[in-house]
Amino acid sequence: MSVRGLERLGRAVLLLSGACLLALALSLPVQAQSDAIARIQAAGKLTVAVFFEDVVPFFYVGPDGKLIGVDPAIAEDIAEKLGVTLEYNRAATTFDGLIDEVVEGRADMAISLLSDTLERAARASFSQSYVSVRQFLLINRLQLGRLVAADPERANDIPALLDSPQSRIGVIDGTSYVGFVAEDFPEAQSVAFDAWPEMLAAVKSGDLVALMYDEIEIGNWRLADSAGAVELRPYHLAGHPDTIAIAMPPGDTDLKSWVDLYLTKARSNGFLDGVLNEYLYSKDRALIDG
Amino acid sequence: MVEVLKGRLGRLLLHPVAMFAGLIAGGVLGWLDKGQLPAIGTLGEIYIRLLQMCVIPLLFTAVATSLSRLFLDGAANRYFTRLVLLVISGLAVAGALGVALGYWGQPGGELQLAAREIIGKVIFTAEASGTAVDPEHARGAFSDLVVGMFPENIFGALTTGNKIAILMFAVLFGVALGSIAREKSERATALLEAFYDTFIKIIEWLMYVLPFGLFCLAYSQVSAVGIDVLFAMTKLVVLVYAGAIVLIGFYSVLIWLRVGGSYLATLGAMRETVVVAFGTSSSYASIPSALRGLKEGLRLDRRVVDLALPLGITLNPPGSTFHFALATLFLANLYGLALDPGQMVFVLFGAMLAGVAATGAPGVAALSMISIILVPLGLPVEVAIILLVAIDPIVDPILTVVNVQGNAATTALLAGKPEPEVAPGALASSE
Repeated sequence: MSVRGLERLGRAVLLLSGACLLALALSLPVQAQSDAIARIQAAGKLTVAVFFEDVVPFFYVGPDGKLIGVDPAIAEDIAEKLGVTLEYNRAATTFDGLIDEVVEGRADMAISLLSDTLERAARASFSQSYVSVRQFLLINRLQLGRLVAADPERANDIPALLDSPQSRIGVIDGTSYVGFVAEDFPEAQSVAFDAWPEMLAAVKSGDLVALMYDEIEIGNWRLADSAGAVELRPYHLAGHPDTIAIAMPPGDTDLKSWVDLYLTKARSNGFLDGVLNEYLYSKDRALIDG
Repeated sequence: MVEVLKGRLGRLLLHPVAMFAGLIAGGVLGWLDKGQLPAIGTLGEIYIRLLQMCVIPLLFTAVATSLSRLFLDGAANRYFTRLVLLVISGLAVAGALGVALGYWGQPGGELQLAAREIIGKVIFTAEASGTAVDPEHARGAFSDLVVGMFPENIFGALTTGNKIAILMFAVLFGVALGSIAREKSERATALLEAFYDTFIKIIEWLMYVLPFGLFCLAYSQVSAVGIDVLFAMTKLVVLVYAGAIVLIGFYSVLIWLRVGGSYLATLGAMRETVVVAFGTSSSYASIPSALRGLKEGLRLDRRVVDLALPLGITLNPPGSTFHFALATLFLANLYGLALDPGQMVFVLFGAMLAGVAATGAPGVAALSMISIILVPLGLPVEVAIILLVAIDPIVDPILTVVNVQGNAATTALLAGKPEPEVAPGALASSE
């Protein structure tokens, strides 16, 4: 190889390494900026935002005054794995308020039955989902029996039976269920209620043929009203699973990667199933198998 | 000496006291230790399998030979019409008793909150665990049942144990056998009769271990009963037993009036059948013993017994009809639905139809035939099935006795006065 050839090679190598360095320099600052884990460990505590009111069985004060449930169990485990103590921030009075607590730096993360909606994900970053809350109808058996008697051919297709102008289906006003009923039962009358007790009473009296809500509230009903199953029948609707995830500040990318990895491991080693089976799917409240 | 001992042991084992002792001891043990000895349940399962092992060939040979004989004698038509009329009126009596008892007893009315809570829990557990039977299968099964009555392939029906299809074929086979050349027909019929006697022989041997079999069966049956459910549905269970006992008494009087002699002798002839039916909860397992009781104990016309009893056990279930009618009234009470007289008549006919439909369906699917009555009334079928399944281990034994004794009575009415003591197998008609 000639001297000129060597020179050319040397220049090319220099150019290439320069380009590599530049690329490295461009990519490094992003990672270097995110030191949320170091921040939490330096502070020695993890602050977790939880909705101000108890929601059994996700987070509620147990017999000994300690916060227990699905979410505290996960929060405690995360704090332990990070080697820090755990502190709850229960300032949020709405579920969107939980996002404010996280984004404005008053909490490191929100673990509080928080749905990972696209609107919320535009403000905060969400981990992978750790549980899906399912939707159920709670159907008045006698009213359903009348619908079946009128149309025995469709007895097996409960959603189709309910989708008729005569059937009145209850929802809580201002929740996503208003939209779900309009979408799933376009022919039926959607009846909006302000609160659960009135809606439950209406379906029991036969004023409504069914109500639509999530497995949490309906599971609570099942626990509280043992005789209720004589009159009412829970029916799983597969259409709109509500995915629940952990919200973190958008810039804390190292923390988000860590939490995702943590949840993957918690799922594969059975910890997550254990927590869900203890609180959400316990034998006395599970609405369907598995 | 050994022979004498053997004979004594045999008589001891066949004695009703030994049977009752086995039944009661098994029940008490099952009650006390709540089924902690699964081996006993396994032995019971084996025993019931042995009893049922010969039932299908026995059904076939019994129906085919008796029809062949009746056709040879030209007596078949007369029996058929009377059999159908007797079955329909028998079902109507049983269904009417169910409706009347339900109307009078209000089994599901004014339940205490505690009872409703137990019922609610039973329903919930069954639905949440996915063990509840969806009524849709019942609906499909009804049209399938009618089609399934006609075997696509007789060997297929024999291997899958489709009893109604086998009976249909046996009827055709018997009629055809009675219509071919007399000499050939008699030879073939005699051969089938030899097989029939062989199957009966096997069953006779099994009767020697009946007290142990009943012990095992009662053990597992009693430990399967949920005490809570029994408490919550006491009124229904008591009414089922009361009605069943009335029906069984009514049937025994019918048999006695027809056969004559002493009433106690009539009871004695059928006691083994009653114990087998109660202990096994299987009307098929009781067929051999019922055949023996009617033919040997009561000396009824062999040809009629061999035809009417197997046909009746397969297609005529007064116990199920009674149970469905009563259970429908229970459910109407539970949901506060007052039935008007027209609806009660509907329940009666619906229960007759559902009872017949249930004969072709196995286990829980048989209970789900109640949907035939409940759907038009707008009552929740899923709840009915769950509750009927829950009390089934308690009421099934007595309802099986009703089914078997109802058919014994039908057979006795059809057969007429007993044969004088002549050589068995005599071809002469008794009428």
